[in-house]
Amino acid sequence: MVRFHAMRLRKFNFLMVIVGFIFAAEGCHQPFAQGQALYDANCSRCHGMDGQGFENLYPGILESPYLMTAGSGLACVIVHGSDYLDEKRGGPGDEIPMPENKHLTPVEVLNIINYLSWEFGSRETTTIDQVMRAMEGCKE
Amino acid sequence: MRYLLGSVVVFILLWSCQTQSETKLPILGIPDITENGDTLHHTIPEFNFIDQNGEPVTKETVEGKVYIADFFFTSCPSICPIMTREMKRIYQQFEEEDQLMFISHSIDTRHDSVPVLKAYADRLNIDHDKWKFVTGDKSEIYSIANDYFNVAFEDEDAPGGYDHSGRFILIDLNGHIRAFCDGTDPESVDVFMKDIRKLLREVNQNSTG
Ligand code: HEC
Repeated sequence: MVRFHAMRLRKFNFLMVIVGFIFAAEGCHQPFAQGQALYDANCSRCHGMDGQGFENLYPGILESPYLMTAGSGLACVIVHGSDYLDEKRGGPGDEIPMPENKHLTPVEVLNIINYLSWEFGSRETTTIDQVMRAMEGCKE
Repeated sequence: MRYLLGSVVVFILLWSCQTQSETKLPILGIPDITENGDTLHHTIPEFNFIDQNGEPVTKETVEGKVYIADFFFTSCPSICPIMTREMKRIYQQFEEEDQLMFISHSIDTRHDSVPVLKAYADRLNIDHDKWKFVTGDKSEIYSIANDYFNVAFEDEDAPGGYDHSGRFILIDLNGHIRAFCDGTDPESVDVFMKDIRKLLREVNQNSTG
């Protein structure tokens, strides 16, 4: 009888491990596939697939303050590149310029932001309203 | 017994190095045939550029060296970031190699002044004696690009305003092109690094034997 219990328990444990794996695998799959594809196509050649940047030429995304304040400034950095960054700094430095991305629609910008936040940031999600509002206020 | 085995292995290794005759890299480009039938291989002409420290870069700079050439510009939004990344990978692989140099030609002579090139080189963390970022007379740069199997031209519709190919070119001690690759493709660059190694072996063999 005791032995029978032990068997059942072991089977149950085994089952839980499997279920656990399935959930874990689900968790690995990040939910912003379009954002990732857009990042790979528009950003990764400078900032790296891993968001680490490259030497001192291209800054890492990982440590960027723009990632912490999701929604607001990040949308403007993505769309206007160095034009926006220079404005915030009060003039161009000797940095390599970041290009603008005016071909991206607000939804695409949103998807990139949410992907970045998921992959490299706080995992806070941004809404389309926030992005639209931010984009109106980029140039002031 | 162990010693014996060891020395046999060493002997075999040495012996195989000695006898292995490697096929040389070809000399690329369309040769000229002179009237008396001699073949003149495609050769990089004389040049006169200025590097990131304001110093002249001519054929004398690369005398006795194998070098790699490419064409880029610092504000290039499209393929150059990948090319620079790949070139730095090559640079790191051959960090200890004194006989190898790098010349990156800027095709944006308007914006890429000496200080801009200096800032770029500083940010890339490289040895300025080994890797030259050069500017100079615009028509001279655009015309030497052709000699290096590259095309470069201004084009308002291209990203950043310039269109150019991303080839890396390997040049030997005689100014002959011995190999090239697509600098935007890591796999092509991997093969290229084997070619660089081959040419360096050839150069060392010629100087020692
Ligand atoms: C051609 C190279 C290049 C591309 C492509 C590029 N960036 Fe940048 N990015 C830069 C450079 C260079 C800077 C620093 C510019 C500056 O400080 O003026 C920068 C800065 C940034 C910053 C601010 C970093 C900081 O220091 O806080 C963020 C965030 C950013 N980029 C995100 C992106 C995203 C997202 C994309 C794709 C939509 C992208 N970048 C595409 C080169 C690039």
